[in-house]
Amino acid sequence: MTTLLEARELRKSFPALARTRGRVTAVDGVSLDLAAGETLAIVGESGSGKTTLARMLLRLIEPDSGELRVDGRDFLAARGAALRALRREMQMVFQDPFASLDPRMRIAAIISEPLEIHEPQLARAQRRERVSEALRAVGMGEDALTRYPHEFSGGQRQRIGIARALVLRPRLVVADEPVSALDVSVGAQILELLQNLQRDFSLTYLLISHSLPVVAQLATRIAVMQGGRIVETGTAAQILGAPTHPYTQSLIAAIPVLPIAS
Amino acid sequence: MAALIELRGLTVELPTPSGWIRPVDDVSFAIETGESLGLVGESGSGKSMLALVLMGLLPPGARIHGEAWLAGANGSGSSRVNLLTLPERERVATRGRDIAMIFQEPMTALNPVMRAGAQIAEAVRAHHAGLPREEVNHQVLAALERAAVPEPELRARQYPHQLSGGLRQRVMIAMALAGGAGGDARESSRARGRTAPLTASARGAPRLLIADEPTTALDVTVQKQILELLARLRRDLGLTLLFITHDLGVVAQVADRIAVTYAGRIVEEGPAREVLERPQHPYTAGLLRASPQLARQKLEPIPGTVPSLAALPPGCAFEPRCALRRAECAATMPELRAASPEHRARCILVEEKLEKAIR
Repeated sequence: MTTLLEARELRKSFPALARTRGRVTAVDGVSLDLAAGETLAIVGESGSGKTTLARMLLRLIEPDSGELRVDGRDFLAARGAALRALRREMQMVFQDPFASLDPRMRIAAIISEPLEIHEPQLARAQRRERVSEALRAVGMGEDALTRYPHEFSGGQRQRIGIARALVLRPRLVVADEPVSALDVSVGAQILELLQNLQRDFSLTYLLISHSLPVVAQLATRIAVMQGGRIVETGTAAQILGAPTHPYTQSLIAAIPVLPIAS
Repeated sequence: MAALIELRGLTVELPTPSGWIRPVDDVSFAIETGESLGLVGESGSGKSMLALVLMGLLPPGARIHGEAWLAGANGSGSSRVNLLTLPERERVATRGRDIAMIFQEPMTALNPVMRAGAQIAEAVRAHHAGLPREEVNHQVLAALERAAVPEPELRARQYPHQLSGGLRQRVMIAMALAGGAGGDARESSRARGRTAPLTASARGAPRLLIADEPTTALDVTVQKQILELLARLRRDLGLTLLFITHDLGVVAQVADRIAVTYAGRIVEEGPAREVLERPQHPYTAGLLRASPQLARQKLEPIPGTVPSLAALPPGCAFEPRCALRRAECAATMPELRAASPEHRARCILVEEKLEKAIR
């Protein structure tokens, strides 16, 4: 397996509350490797630094220090066209399908926007075909193209967000809490869709979640974060079945268990 | 034991640009004193609207039909009152004293520019007018202690943004407990010497606590602490609980009985274990199979989405998404049918051994 993304000793701190000189270290020396085709889940509670880490991996925020390589190339040093070329390989699906779609844009414009930035040479017909293809991949019809986000349910909006991420044919998709804003029955649809898309398009996933039961459905490997550090990492079976770190054990013990339906 | 609260044919209608909708449609259930009822449903199922009816906090323009009976303060059925026909002044008095509510997002439910203690003091004063300041402060600290807030004196002086999510929810719980007067607690609190320690029986508490998704915004380890706190309060204060949630795992921890709502109606109701282990409505069974567990499973989503209340199908509201639907399901909404003496479901398959049909 080839390594798609390599992070070494990433750090990020932010200024603490106003009128104090302190800083809050959100990510404190995190190293990880992401192999092509796998699903690595970063699990942690609020404030553990998981979202900051995900955003750094995409360079949506710049780390204070550390190294970041994509396909062996120095991602942090990349500028201009080289940076854009790396970025189109890595797309993001956001938590809140209500906040992450511009309410004044039609669905066609939302999904084609990444193409206008990264593939401006495409003819209009080609662009339209790519947008339709992405919509079909997420199980939606072309009748959606001329409509606005408010006309869709939360689950459909999350599908539109996924289509926007897929339209560039990326290799890595970072999904930050992709189902936590959705109802259970709809969340299960989105998890199933993510499973199918990974198979059909050979995607690599970085999944950010606070929910071990959600992570258990998708992850091949799990890294548990607490206080800005990864405290335990292993295969999904190891972490869920035989966790060794006390924090991981407490997370698993706190999950409400359903009685088994007969 | 008598029912503390009993709903009969409760219906709420709201005006919308696309006509009148019914977020609560012909809902009947009873909660016994000391019991915990879990009201389960997805967004748009009407479960929060039901809580607002009981609190008397419906939006303007709402039409209400049916009855909502609250047992008399001495627990007898004879002096019970219908909340929906109660004069406004008496209705206001029940809010906080007899029925209190905690909300999903304590950050938005709390006033950001008021110290936590002052907000709890408001709840105390609302139901114990004229109480000396010293006694109010005493009750504020007692409420924080009952909600298991560590360092109550410090927390009372802090603002909501200085508290963690879990502490904020504990402050909400303290506030809900502070306005209450379970049984004859009002009299005993007046008769009590100012410095006398509170005994469990004298502690005022609302008789019914409505908790609307109280742990949804919290981390799982904090959620566990809050659920344990609610269980202890039920035990110590004899609280009756209406727990509203979309999470079947959570409801399995807190509820004695479960009512599952879909598109404004109760579609299944029964003892918690029975409903979770032997669901009789295809929607309940589908929700259970769609809920991620710690082991990797074959996820079985329910296809489609919850119907809009403005465009409900003519028959069973779940029919368009149901894998077991028959022709007659599209024609009329089935009644609740008994699957066992205490377990009912709104499905024509109940009498045909739904369990076998699912397999």
